[in-house]
Amino acid sequence: MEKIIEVQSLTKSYMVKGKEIRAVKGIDFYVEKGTLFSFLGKNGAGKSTTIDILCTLLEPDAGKVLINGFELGKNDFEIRQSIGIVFQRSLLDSMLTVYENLKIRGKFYKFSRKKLKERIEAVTEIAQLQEFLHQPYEKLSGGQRRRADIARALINTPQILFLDEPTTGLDSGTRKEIWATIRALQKEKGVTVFLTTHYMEEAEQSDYITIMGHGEILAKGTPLELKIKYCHDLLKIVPKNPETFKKTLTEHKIDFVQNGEVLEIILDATTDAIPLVERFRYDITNVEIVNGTMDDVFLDITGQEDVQI
Amino acid sequence: MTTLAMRNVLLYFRDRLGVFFSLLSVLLIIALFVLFLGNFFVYNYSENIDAVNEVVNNWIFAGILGVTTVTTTQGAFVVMVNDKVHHLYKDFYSTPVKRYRIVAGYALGSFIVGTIMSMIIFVVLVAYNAVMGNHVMSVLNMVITTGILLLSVLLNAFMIFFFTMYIKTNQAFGAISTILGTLIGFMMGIYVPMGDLPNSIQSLIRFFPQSHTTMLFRQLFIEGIAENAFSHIPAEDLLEFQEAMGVIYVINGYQLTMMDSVLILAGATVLFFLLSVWRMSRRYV
Repeated sequence: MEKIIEVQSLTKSYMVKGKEIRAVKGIDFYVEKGTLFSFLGKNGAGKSTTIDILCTLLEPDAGKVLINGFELGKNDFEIRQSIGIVFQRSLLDSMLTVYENLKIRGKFYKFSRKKLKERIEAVTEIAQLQEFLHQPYEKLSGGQRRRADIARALINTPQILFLDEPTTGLDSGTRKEIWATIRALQKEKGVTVFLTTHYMEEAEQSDYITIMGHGEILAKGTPLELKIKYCHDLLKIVPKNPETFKKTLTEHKIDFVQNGEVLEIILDATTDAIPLVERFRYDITNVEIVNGTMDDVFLDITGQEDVQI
Repeated sequence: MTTLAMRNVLLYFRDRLGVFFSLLSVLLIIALFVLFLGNFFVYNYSENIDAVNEVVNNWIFAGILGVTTVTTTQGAFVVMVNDKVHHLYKDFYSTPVKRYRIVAGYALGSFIVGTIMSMIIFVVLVAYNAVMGNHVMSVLNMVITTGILLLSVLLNAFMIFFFTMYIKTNQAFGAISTILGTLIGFMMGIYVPMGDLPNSIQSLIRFFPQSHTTMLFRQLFIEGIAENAFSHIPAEDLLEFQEAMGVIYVINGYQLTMMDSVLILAGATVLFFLLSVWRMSRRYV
């Protein structure tokens, strides 16, 4: 597989009130071409700083970054031509119509008049803007705005699309629509998608996940690899006689956690539940197997206790 | 650069109510002067009262046009500050366009807005004279006035651009707008005739390049009527009167010519152009 983004020992610090904040502490990762890549982390983990650096908006202190074969800091011009960005907070002109916004932004890429017209038509089609193309941006609904933002990001036919929390604040129906558009871009047009999100069900659908925390990379892998490594399935049992049942479990050296009248046993594999249930089938009132989720993975890796607001 | 400048102009004029009110505020000042305040200057002249009145009106018009070239150009920089406050520049910076070109687009956009707005006021003033049957300036003077107006707006665009690059919030911008709006009329000597101010303040005003715009406008606006209005005054007294009213500047006994003042404006324009380039090269490479 070809690497379209390669990051080596990337470092960035800020000075805030005379105090040095190390936002990114020498991270390494890469993104394969044509994949959907999720970049996760809690607020303040260093995600936004990293994205700003990759998008040539912020200069790193140290490290080497290759984007689409171009070196950051040396070929920024070429990098800017290869990327499209959907910013967390929309950056289009609210008083102008979607069409005016696209036209002005499109001109920054020095297209011919004809080519610009073609590009506007193409992104209007992809993001389905037909209905509100000539309405002022400020009059649009949240979902429509997001579509316009995506169209803006695609105006220069980027090979890499950065999406910084594209679905945050949208209702679930709209979220699904936006998500479908993103997937279609990746699958049909072969665009590499670099995504940050707080929705784990979205991250779960990506090809590769990298999780950041405190300026470092905490974990990386496919969703399945991460789940196998960081979360466990849970067997929940409601015993007929809790006291004797607990004693039996202790005798068999099976670890458990009591949660009300439910006893929870952590499983290494889902199938491990079968012999357990089989063995105690006559002592059990109720049984449930709960699969680990990406939420568990995320919380396990980033730590639950120091939640930052 | 032109793309962004056109976008900035479009954004400025899209806020129709804002444009309307900034024009209205200038027109209100004109109306107030013409209706009431003008008499305040005239009361101690008994002869040729109508002609003197016309000179005073045009003297006021010139001052207001001078102020307008500053305030409207400054107002147009609201787009630049808004982009900074709302981080809209991030979108532009992520495109292949060079950063200094993006930033220069704000100066160009404000120059265009300032020119359009000032020209509107200029046309209104000339139209007023025409409709009222007053003396209308010659076509040549109109052309010269337009030329000086363009030079002045250019100077203002660079000067305000340079200072606006340091502004980071809407509040600061609003405060500066208010201060500038108040001070500029004073710095151009339009509220009070220069002769009534202390010598040190008079020197300060003469030193302020934009005040030369107003001075030149005054010469152009009253040419052709002042001769009649003050035919009864000895030439020597007239010169003194013109100096007191800020129609001519006399420095150490030397009376500045129109070309001198144009050169001062041009020099200041070059100075602030270079300062802006210096600031941009440090900040927006």
